[in-house]
Amino acid sequence: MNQLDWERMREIVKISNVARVSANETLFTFRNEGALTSHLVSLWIINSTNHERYDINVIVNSGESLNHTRADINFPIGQYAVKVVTERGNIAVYLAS
Amino acid sequence: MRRVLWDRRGITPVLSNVLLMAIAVAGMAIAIAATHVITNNLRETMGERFVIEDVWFRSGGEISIYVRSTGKMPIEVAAVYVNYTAQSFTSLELDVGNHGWLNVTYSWDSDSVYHIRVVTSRGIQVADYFKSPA
Repeated sequence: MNQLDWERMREIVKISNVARVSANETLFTFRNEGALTSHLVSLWIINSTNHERYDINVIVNSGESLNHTRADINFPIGQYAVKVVTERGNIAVYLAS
Repeated sequence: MRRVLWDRRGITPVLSNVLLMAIAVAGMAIAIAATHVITNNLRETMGERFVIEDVWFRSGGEISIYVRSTGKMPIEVAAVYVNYTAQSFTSLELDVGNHGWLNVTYSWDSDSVYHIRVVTSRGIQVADYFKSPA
């Protein structure tokens, strides 16, 4: 195991909430429960028929929560999953409807 | 004078010393080259990391795999296995921090679990189970 693997193991990022704040704005709340600062680089909105990826550039410090608002995301109707990927390669998933 | 010039005593030790030095230098050069090659390969392999961000079971017998290079070396996908069988795929090379779709031709069944493994040219692999939509 080298430093890359060690850092990846110590990184714990969660999506604590996804809420639509207006007709076209969505608020994502990310929480970093790990010991290292996390850099979020990808945001996925997935349903049974479509997998949409969005670039993000969000840094969440260790132990902190961060609200991130997006206005360019088209949410699918029905159940969907929100997935966020860190620069180190960890993935957090949030199921919503 | 003529006797001094043609006196060969003392030449043999000089030649042997020169020969010994040449052998020592050549040996060191080989050792340094081997060390460089081995450590370079190790550095490249140890610095190569990637993740599968997403797997999308598309209609028409295709599985799209989104790959992100998270290590310190560029990657080149060399093989993709679905349920331990090699499949044809579109070539994918990613620089450090880059990402992209890897399309695999595979006629999948709905509501089934597939073991997908992606292997790079240096032998680093990522594998996991993914469920196709119902």
